[in-house]
Amino acid sequence: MNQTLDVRGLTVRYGGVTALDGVGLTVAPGELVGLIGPNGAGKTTFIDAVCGFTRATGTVRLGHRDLTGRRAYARARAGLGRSWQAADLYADLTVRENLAVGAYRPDWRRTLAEVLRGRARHDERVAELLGIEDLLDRPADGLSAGQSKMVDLARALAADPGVLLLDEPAAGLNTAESRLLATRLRTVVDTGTGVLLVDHDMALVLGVCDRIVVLDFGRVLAEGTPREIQDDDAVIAAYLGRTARGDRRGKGDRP
Amino acid sequence: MDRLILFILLGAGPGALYAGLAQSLVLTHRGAGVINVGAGAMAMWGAYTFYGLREGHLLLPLVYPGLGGPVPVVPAFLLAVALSALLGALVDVAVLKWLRTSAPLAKLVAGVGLMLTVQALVVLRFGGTGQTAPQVLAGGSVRILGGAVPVVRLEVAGLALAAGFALAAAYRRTRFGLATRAAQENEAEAMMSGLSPRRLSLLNTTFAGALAGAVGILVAPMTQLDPTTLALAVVPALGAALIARFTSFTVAAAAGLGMGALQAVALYLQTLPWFPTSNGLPMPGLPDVLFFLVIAGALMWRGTSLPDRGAHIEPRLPPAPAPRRVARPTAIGVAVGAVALLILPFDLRQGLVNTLIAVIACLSLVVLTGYVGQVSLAQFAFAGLSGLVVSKIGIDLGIGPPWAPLLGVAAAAVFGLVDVLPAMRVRGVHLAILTLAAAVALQNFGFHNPSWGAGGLGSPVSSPVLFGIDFGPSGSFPLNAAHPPSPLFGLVCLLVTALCCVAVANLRRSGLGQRMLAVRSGERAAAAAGISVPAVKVTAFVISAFLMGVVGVLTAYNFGSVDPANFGIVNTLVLIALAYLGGISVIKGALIGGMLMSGGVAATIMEDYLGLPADYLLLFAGVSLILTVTTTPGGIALAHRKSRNGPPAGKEPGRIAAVAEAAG
Repeated sequence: MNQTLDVRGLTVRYGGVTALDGVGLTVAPGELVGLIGPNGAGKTTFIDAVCGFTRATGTVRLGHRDLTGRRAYARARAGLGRSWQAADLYADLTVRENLAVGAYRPDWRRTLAEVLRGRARHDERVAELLGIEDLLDRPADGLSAGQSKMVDLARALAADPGVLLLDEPAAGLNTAESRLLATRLRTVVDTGTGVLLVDHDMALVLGVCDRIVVLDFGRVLAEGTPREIQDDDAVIAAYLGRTARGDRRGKGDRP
Repeated sequence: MDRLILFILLGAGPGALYAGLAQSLVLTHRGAGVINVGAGAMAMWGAYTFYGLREGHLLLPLVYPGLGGPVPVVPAFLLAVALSALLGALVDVAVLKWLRTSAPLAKLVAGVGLMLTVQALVVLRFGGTGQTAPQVLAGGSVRILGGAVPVVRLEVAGLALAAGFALAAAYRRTRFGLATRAAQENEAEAMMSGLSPRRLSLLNTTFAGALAGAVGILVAPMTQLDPTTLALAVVPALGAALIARFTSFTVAAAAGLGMGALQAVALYLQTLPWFPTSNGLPMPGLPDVLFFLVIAGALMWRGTSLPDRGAHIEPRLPPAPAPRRVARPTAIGVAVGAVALLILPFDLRQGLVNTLIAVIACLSLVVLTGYVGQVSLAQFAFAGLSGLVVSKIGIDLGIGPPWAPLLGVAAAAVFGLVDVLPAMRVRGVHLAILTLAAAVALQNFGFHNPSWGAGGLGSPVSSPVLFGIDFGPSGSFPLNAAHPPSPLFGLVCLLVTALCCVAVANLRRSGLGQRMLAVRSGERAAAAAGISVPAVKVTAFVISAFLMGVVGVLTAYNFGSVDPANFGIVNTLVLIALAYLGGISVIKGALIGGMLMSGGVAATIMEDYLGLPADYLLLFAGVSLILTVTTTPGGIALAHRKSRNGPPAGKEPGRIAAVAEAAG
């Protein structure tokens, strides 16, 4: 399911506050797009609005399908996958069950057959891809923060989404885990899935993304390759500050 | 027209009750985040306390000491209101305090426990029949539009409205009101600003108790002082509180009076010549149907905007692990059950049959509450409907098994669907309110209707005969069949119960079961995985109603008649209590709950062999429900497990390492 996510003029208002003001961006198949910006810039609101968790105006298209105004579950079925800032696993299920829940959608006949036989379908490929096979039988509420994040990512991937929207997957991870996440994200993208990555870990975002969109006060401030973004004066003033430029000079470009 | 206005003026009495209870509900919700379905029971306790004082007794749980003569009206009123306030405070300290971080559902269920406990205490003291409630305010009546309107009714309505304005002003102007509003918005923030949500909750619940008690005392002479009328007055009051979004006192007061007026209009319509009659009397239950429609309308209109509480800890329900083995425990259970049915004396055999049927009833809640985190207060209404279908089509059309049971179960499932559809998108606690209203409406409009209901002595059910064999309790059997129930009927019940257990176990292991648990864990995350949350809830509701339909069919055959007394709201409350006590989220819990149900194995042993009166079961159910919800939400079946709030094994070292690494 390789589809392009095309968002145009997305606007969200909470009471008198405009959280998003006409934001547009695209995520092509096999493309990893970073979405960064200071706290309160509207990054999570953007993901919520695209996935149908927040009332918004503007259009959301995935491939040839118009998802504007559809309910959250319908958008997910159309191929929009997402992860959560707080992982939000189904705490009452095991990791295996967490992955199975979104992985397939049987019709009522299959559902009835499953209920009669007491079986559910499980697929362990995603767990292998992300290297979390050893967690499969653990209850989801006994995992560390890093493990929870990885299971959340696996759960979104298990549904084989056209486009994946990741809300701060590296928050709470240590440096090693964050680096591991970067390589796994590239693996995912290389299978043809488009990914939108929201994160504050600049080493991760600058290092792994093909293209970066910068949000500030609900508007798109800049858009470009990681190199262009790091040299953009407006972005530096609003968000990155001096250190990022120093970082880049110290560390070099993408790995 | 004049008569209509007169009826509406007379409706001011019940209206005042609904208005007062609605305000009490708003107070408890704002202060403690609880929708207290026991508010009507609190009003009833106040009214009975006042009655006791006027009779010269002090009403306390299980004791009723004399005071050496009747207490005069004013001190009796003040003392009864003070004792009601004390009950409110007690509820907060003994129940709500422990539920601050629990799921809203657990809080609602605690209210059910309160309602059951108070009802049980009243029944144990005064029996099921009503008393003449003593007057409080001065009598007399005014003539309006050619009819006599008692002044008292107008006075209490005025008082209820005045209370609404006073409370609204107090919440707007005083520091206490401001603090409660702050705590309601965000508990953690309120704590940071030095407010104590606990103390605020205590104060609000105490006021709520006093208000409910006062309005109960004042209005009891105009309604009825019996164990159900005041307790169930909470239904229209919930409707009024919903219209007020559990926030505005003035709207709650006005809407409560409006509910009273609505009831008056319904009563007026019943006096008109064109109003449909059954057996020469106007059809009963119209007010309850109207209350249900108002609540359904309020939920559709305001459903998604109803306020949520800013609690600072994620609420949790007891764990519902997938059963590992199904075939072997089922085989063992069926074998043991079959032997027991063949050899047990007839009274214990009857107890076992009742238990088997009750197990299915508990399973219906395992699916709905344990797997999906919703609660229904209409469970036995579904069962009654199913039983009634079996009875009616048996008598009127001569249809017996296998079609009659199938049609009965289908009717229950369809009614479950119709009942839940208006509230598909609302949260569990609001859904529970709707089911409560539906249960009361179905009971009064349906079961008590002389034409299509079950009348006074119940609607007879003919014995199930299939292939020339009588499978009913009075059928013949080669072994141990001198007294009913026949072991064959027991074996049929055993088989059906075993099938239901396997089906519910397999449901948990199937993909649908996983999706149900996912919805229970988090509706947003479930939606993000492509799960239609309303569809899952509706499915669970229909499965649950289906199981209750099976209960209705078996109960109808078991008793040989459909008696509304077996399918009332109290039956559902007891069911919820014992299902919770047994373990609401696992099948083992349903088996334990079934043992404890009224008429079941445990109750039979208690009554026949230990000599304990059955009346105490109600009290036991109420108290144990409150204890279970507050201390071991997993019930007896999961009591051996560690509390979920403790740190899970293997989690801490990883986190410490991560913290150490981050620090280093």
